[in-house]
Amino acid sequence: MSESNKKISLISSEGEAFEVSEAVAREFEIVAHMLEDGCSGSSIPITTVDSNILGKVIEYCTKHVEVGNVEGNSEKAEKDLEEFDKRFIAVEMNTLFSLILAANYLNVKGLLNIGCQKVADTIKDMKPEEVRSIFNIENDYTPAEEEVVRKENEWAFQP
Amino acid sequence: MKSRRRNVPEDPQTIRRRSSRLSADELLSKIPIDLVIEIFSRLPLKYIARRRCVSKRWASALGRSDFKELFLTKSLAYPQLLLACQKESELIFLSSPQPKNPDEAVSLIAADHHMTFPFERVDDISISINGYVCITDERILKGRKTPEDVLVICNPSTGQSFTLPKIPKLKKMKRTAKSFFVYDPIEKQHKVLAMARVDGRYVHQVLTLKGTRNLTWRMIECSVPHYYPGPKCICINTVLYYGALGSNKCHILVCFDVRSEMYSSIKAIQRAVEEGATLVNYKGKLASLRAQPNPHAISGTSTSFEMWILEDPEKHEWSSRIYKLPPVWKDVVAGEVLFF
Repeated sequence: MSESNKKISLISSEGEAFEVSEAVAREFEIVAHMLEDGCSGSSIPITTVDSNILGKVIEYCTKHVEVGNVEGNSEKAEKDLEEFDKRFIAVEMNTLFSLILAANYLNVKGLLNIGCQKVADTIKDMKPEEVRSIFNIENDYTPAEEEVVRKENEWAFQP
Repeated sequence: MKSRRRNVPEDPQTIRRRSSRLSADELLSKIPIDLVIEIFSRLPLKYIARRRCVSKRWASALGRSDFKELFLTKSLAYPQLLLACQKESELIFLSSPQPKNPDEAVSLIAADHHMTFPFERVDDISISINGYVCITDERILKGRKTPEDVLVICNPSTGQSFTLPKIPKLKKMKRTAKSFFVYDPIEKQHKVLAMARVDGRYVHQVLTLKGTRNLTWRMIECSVPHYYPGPKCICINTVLYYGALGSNKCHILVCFDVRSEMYSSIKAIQRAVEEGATLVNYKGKLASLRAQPNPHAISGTSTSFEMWILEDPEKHEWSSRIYKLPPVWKDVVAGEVLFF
């Protein structure tokens, strides 16, 4: 069996197995390191990521591996991938954070990058009150303190 | 995608907890602080300042020195050109992304308006260090008839500015001849070095910027007597370089160690440090660049640039190179006169 056809099972926190090609599994740097360290088992437990999120991360990596294998017309492929990333990351906040956490744990750099960028873009134009409600953050400033910190950063609220 | 469910006996409660989604707050508390920092480092400064108003916890995370450093590293990856122009009594700062490929034909670069600061008569604008610039403003202070130099540190990104304490006047001291804004990357401190003439010689004073309180000017000894410092200067690593006239009327390159505040000098080729030449960092080495045949202005009649590179500071060795300008140069510059 050639390298690329080798299958690996990734086991989610609920115990669900996802069978993927080795190339896709290697997109998870944590798995790539395990394989390089001589871990020969064909099933790898990913205990901190649930099935829903693991499925999504695999979908992301599969697409990126597929596009990476296509030869010729790289410009179009790159554009397609950009579009894919954009659609892929257009999810609600909780899923987005779960994806970032998973990408961080599994060390999938591309996904981590687009995830962090998406959060940054989402919160950048929000008012402090909106950010608090989205992130469920308690406002620990007293009104007087908030006034001071607002004043200090007043320049940033000007258009 | 093939998948199969495994029969792993699990505590039913665990399964329930896992299947119900975590709230955003639970998720956030699980996100390591370096990830939060990673997210915020992608935002422009303005938005970071806005987020400081969200909560104390966020404000403290965004005020950490490791965040500041990461932010600085990220912004350095996207160099910007900082432009300043004076309009009546205002100094306007604009910035524009630096073209990645200098060969690309740049037609027009859109510049973002940053901030406007009130000034009377801008005498000198320092290079920008970590987003700050030091401006020498010639002001007529209350009750005075002659103008005095006032040094102001500005942050063009935030619009904040801070006037430095007055340089202490010594008997017979003339106006400040020159001030340099420098940075010690090891101690992470900004300093201002100012020199003024007293009785035919120069006195040197340094101010270390630490917060905004209790800032005082300190006199420092200069072991290399020199005159007419600058106007061009450059900082490479921890050394500030500028051209000057040495005690025996020879042209020298003055080296000021920003950390130890000690002076030394290098014998310079006159052409490399005289007016019209600019100092540059050429592959980590100090170099000087000037237009030929007329070093005082870069115009359609310029034919080449002459570069002097300081090869060995210990041996005072310089090497030179000539960069010929292409024939299209004349059309590009047309009737304009440019300066470094």
